[in-house]
Amino acid sequence: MRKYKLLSIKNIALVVLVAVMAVIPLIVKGNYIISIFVSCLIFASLGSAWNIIGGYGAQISWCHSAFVTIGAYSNFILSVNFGISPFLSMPIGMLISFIFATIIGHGTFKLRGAYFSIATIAFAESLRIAIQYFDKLTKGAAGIYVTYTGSSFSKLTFKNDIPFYYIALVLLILIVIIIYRFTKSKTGHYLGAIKGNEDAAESLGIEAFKVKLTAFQLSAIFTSVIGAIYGSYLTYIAPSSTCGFDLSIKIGVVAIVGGIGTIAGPIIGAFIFIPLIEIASKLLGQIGGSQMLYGLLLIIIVIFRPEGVVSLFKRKSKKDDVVGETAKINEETKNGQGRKENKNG
Amino acid sequence: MDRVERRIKMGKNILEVKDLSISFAGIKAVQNLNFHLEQGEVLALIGPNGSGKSTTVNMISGVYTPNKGDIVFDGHHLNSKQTVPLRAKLGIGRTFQTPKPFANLSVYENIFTIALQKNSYANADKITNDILDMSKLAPFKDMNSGKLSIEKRKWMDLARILATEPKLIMMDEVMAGLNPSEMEESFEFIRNINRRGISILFIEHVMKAVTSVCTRAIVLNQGQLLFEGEPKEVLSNPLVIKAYIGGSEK
Amino acid sequence: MWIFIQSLINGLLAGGVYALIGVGITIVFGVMKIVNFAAGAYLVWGMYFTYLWYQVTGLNAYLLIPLVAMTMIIFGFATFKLTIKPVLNTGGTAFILVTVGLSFLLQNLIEVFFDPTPRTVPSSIKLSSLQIGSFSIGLPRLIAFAAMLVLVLFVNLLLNKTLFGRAMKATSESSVIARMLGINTDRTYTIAFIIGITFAGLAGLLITPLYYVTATSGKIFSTVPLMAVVLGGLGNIKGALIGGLLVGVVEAVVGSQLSPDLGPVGITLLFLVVVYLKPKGLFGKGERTA
Repeated sequence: MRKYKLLSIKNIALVVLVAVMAVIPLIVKGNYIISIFVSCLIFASLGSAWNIIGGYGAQISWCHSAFVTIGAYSNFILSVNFGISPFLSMPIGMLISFIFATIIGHGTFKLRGAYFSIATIAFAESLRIAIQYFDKLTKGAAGIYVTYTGSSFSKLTFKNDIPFYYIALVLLILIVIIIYRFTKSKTGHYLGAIKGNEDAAESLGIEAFKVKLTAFQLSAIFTSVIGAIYGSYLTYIAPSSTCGFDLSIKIGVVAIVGGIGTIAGPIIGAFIFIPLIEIASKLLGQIGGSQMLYGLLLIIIVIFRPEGVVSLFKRKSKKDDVVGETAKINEETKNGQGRKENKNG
Repeated sequence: MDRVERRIKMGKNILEVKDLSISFAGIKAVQNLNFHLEQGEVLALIGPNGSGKSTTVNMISGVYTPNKGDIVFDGHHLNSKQTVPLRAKLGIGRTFQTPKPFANLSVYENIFTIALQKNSYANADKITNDILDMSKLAPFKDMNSGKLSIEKRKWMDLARILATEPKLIMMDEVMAGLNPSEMEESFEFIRNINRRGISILFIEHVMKAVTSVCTRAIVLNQGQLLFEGEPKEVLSNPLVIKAYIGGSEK
Repeated sequence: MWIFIQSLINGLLAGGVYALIGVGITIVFGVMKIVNFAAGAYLVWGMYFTYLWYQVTGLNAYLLIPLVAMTMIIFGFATFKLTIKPVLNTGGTAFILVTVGLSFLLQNLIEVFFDPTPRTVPSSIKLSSLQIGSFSIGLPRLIAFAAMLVLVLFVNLLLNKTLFGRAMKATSESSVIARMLGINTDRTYTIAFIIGITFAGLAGLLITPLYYVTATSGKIFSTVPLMAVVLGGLGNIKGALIGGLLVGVVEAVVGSQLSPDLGPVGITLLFLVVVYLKPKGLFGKGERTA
């Protein structure tokens, strides 16, 4: 195992990147650009959380808007009606998301194929309808507004978007750290094996069902937390926008276009994709044209570059070929001269 | 030819199969199969194509649920509650006819991930390196497993199973597609595995493998046990020969 | 009680449309082992093609069936070749992503080509119904149901009685062996897909007397047939049929007893319950191979 180098080039680059990001709001003038950044950061977090089950787990979920909704609605319902701070209501959203993720996972993770994806679509739709229906609690299709009564960190209401920028940045950094630790954890390793070959993994003792369920639960609760913050940032949530299929697709596409199953992928995906949508909707109109982009990009990436944009930055694994060739040559030498101890790698 | 050391606890069978039967769509794939594997043995399971060998392995490993009969492994009765992963944790390992590497991972990671199940990170690392040496895969440890040759993939399959600390390995046609020198190396590898006390159920078509490595052989034909005995005995038995020539040739 | 039986009838008939789409999805799945998430989008395009042909010819929807079918065949061929064929052999989740992407693309393409005003394809029988006792059976729904039966029968004959049908069955069992037997599996895939989406498009045609021709009409038809197919047992035509009818009935009964909005929620609950208890669906034989 390679030793962890604290001062490696990669780590220095990351610190510089974070420093740059921290400084941007002081340089950039105008709330509009800041708000684009905030959207990018939030979708980077959302895509990263999605990635846990969708990328590392290779189970395509189309219901993450539902977890955003659960987080956002828990936040709004409790703060508007009872004045409870979003930070205090987050655990409730997390719990509800956890329960739903468990139900869906229990139903579908013992099966292979598209069952899970279908169930997620059904779930998100049903939640949207349920929220519209139980309008005494949720104000139904009209949605809920957060009224601004002055800047307050505990209420997550601010005069402009700059505080949200920093909150979103910190959130993203936290999520990235958590995901990184997850990939290094035992469960993270098992998930990789399942993704590689589920049959083989099971025959070697890995309980695929449990591992996938855990990944989905984690993904759901993180998404719920981001959803709570996202809701406060938007100051307005409604079933059609917050629990729509569009949002689920957007989250998935951010991760897929950027690089499914990688840490940098969803971040790159968000910073490319979100501004792209902004530009497209200015040019092509709000509906139709820009939404079409999601579908088009998804198809193009899957056909032409399934590993996502991130793979453009990775050096092609020449290393594998070199290792393979060297090993082959050593083998041939060994065989040609009878059995001999071989120490070269 | 090596004489394999046997560590046999008197009267202890690692695997007992009693009256095992399964049908698919009305066709009896395996009927009333009875056999046992003694601890430390290398038992050959041979028979023409379609005789039920792989089906039997699938029933023991938990992929299929038999319609009738009992499987007792290391004293445990196996029923449908013991799913495939749980049986692997009990100590049953099996290879697949077509190797199934975790193609997204390196050779090292393939083995390491499995070793993690019963070990700390440090221990798993040590065990993985041990296994890499034993299976002669050490030069390839950082290579993407999807790029391995067929022979190396089969060895990696076995290496991964070793990381589960198995008591029984069922090898499903491991020799298929190997050239003679690769086969000789595989014999040695398998003997090494057996020397660690691991019992082996060896499904094979390649008769040289059977005589080189196995201490006993049972023959299946059309889902039923045809004959049982020492490899040389079995292979020269007229009934067995007839079953092979009468049945489908490979 | 009357409401219950009437909603039972309505649900059965509505389920016919779900079943039609579901059978289309099943054929695609059976032959190619991919779930076509874009079926609902093709239905919407079917509605729009019907509208366009109506504008051109003035004929009513039912007379336009041959024209719309042909249009769907061409449309299906083009979209298949461009988007799905390239990823057919990539295992895993590629098809989920592509067909969902396609679904989104097609739905939104409509909004690009046509403005959002809802249109209608006039039908003289729109409000007609058959009276049986105190229950009424909407004529357009009855015709849709009958058409579905005809098409399902046609597919059954195709699969079991024709050489091509047997080729399709062989390909669905094992594409490798089918190829060795000389079957052109590429062509089989293409045709299976075309059949699948033509069914979806014709379903769109059949509902034009009942729904406005607009992009959002298709949304419910995107999710419900998928659930119906899984409920009935993925890969099983009989399962898709019964799944569709069952889902239609549940939606109608829940809608009439509780609230029209909750219909889809009822379906989802049913879906989750069935998938949990009988994971392979009511009639499924399971797709698991060792």
